[in-house]
Parts: sequence; C-alpha cells; structure tokens
Amino acid sequence: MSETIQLDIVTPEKKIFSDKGIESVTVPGIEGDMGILPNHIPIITFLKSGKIFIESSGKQISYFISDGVLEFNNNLLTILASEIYDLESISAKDIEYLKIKAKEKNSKQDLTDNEIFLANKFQEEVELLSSSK
Amino acid sequence: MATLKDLRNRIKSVKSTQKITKAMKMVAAAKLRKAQERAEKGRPYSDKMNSIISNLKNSITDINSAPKLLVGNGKDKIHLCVVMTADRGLCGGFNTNICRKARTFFNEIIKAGKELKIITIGSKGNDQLKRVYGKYIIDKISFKDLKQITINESDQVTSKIIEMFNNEQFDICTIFYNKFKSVISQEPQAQQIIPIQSNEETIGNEQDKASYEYEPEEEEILENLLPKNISTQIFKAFLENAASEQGSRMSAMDNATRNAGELINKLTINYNRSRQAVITKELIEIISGAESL
Repeated sequence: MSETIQLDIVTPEKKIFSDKGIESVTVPGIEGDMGILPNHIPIITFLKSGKIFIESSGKQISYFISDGVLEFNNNLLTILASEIYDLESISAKDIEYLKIKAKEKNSKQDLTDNEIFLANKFQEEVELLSSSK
Repeated sequence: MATLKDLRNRIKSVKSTQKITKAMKMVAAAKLRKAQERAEKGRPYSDKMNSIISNLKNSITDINSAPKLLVGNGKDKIHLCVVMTADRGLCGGFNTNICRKARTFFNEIIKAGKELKIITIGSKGNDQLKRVYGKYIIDKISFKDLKQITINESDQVTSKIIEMFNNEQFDICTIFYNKFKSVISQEPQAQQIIPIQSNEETIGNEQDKASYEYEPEEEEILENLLPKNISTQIFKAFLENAASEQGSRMSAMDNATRNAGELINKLTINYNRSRQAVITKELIEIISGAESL
C-alpha cells in the first residue's frame, strides 16, 4: 500500500497541478471541509468555493477554488475545477475577475436554495480573499 | 500566343498570391501550436469527467428514476444535430468534411422518417447546409468576433440545448466536429451527447472497481454533473475544432504555396522561351535585311 496520494488538478483549459508524493489534502467539500489522507475510501463529491491545502514532504501549497468536483479512488485524487488559482501567485486582476463572477452568480434569477447558498459562499470567499491580499 | 507583357503580368499576380498563401500558412502554423496545446491540455479534464460519469452510471440500479439527460427520455423521434464548423474559409476540406459527415447522417434520419432539427455553430457550416437543409435549421450560432472560445461560450450553447431538451423539443442530440489527430489528418466525428453513449468496454472494466461514497446523494451529483459534462464535451469539440481548423488551413496553404511555386517556374520558362524567340526573330530579320543589300 502506498503511503502517498497522486493528485491531479485539472481545469477545462489545462492541467494545473500533478504530483504523486502528496501526504494530505484538505478540500472544501460541499457538506463541510474534508481532509483526505492516503488510503481514504473511494469518494465522489462536489466542492464549494474555498481553499485547498496540499501537504507534501513538509511543504504546504494552497489554492483557491471557485467550485469543482472531486474523485478519489485507489490513492488517485482528481479535482476537476472550473476556476482555480494558486494563492501564492494570484493577482489583483484575478481577484477582480472573481468578484465580477461572484456578482453575476448572485444576481441570477430562480435559483434553488442550494445554488443560492453556493453563490453566497462564493462571494464571501472572494471578499475574504481580496481583503487578505 | 500570349505576349511577353501578358506573361509578365501573370507571373507577377501568381507571385503575389504566393506571398499571401505563404503568410497565411505561417499565421496558421503559429495559431496551430497554441490551439493544439489547448486541445491537448483540455483532454484530461473531459476524460476524467467521462470516467466519473461512467462510474456513476454503473452505480445506478433503477434506470427509470435516473436523470433523463443520462439515459434519454426513451424516444428517438426528434433528432437534434449540432454541426460545428469554422467561421472562416480557406482551410482545405475542413468545413466540407464535417458537412459531408453531417449530410449522410441527416439523410439517414430523414429516410427513417424521423424529425430533424439542426443547429449550426460557425457561419461556414450554415452556408453549406442552408441550401438543402435550410428548413431544418432552427438556430445558427457564431462566435466570429471572439478571439478565443472559452468555457463560457460552451456553457451558453449547453444551456440552450438543455433548455430545449427539458421542453421536449428533441430526444437525441448529436454533435459534429473534427477531431484533431495530427496536422495533416483530422477526422470528422459524430458524437451523441444526449443520452450519453458510453463505450461498452469501459463499462465492463469499471464494474469491478470499488464502489464510491457519494456526498451529496448520487442523484444530486448526477443532476449537477450532467450539464457540466455536456458543456465539457462541447468545449472539447470547440478546442479540437480550433486545432483542426488551423492544421487544415496550414496544410492547405502549404499546398497552395507549393502549387504557386510550380506555376511560377513554368511561366518563367515560358516567358524566357518566348523572349528568346523574339530576339531570334529580330536577329533573322536584321541579318536577312543586311544580306539583301
């Protein structure tokens, strides 16, 4: 049994991250934050907006994700993200863009409760992000 | 026989055509690299999405309660065909190949007595199809003004398609696009996206895989994921199409440049010969004139 996870983060446009020496990953699951360690049971879940923390050999990498899908099977973790940014290198422009997106999502009509919750959460996270920068 | 001046003009015009095709070839080559990169980078996402969906499909036990987008609504009376082509010409057989593929498919549908609806994306496809199938075309979409297609555009198309599906305006949806294989070879594809057609082989392999834990419920995941999947598939088609278009244009322009070169060589030989002939004729005239004195 391997003691590390292979993690792939992909967006429709490209592969953002791919590494196999990952020790733990923390993701904002739709029903609460979730930590994934090696040999986790297979799982498929949605992600809401928030931060992803990746831990590998003492280093920590963090990303901001707007929403996505996560699949874990056989120590292979795949995150399909629609928007994702490295927190180290996120620029003011990216944050501006996210803000516009958040506003758009929030102003849509006839949303279900779930969608409203996600849109609000997204806006909250983006504002948090911009104030911390 | 053409005069010297005619020949000179011809050579000049062919040369300027060659310059244009050469420039277009180089532009296409530069764009191709970018488009190809995008298409290749986009593949993992759509592949992963596909594997998740097929995993989910296997875990569904009750077919009747499954979302309609996945299994279809049980009918196959009305076919919606989305034909994706380029907005620009001069790219070899690119647009024609897609249209030919689509046409064969249309004819089969019409022959089988089913109803046909067509959406064209890209103006060239619309131009080619409207003459014969004009009355079936219900919508035409063009992203001519955009420099680069992003996921937003495919979302737009997707929401239109899904809305139509929910209103029961069609039963089966197929998209037509060119799959990028290499610079010189592109393959026109017909891919059924509603209901999702899954490869029998992959299903067999997935079955012995571990069962997943779902958060939230499977149905809810499926319901959210399916539109996303369709959008991803359409986006993939956009990317493949963009790469194919540039590849096709590059090889077409390369051919044109080479042909122009050949033509110039031939014309130049012709020109030199007739020039020589004129000189010889003049010489003969002078000599015979001198002799008669």
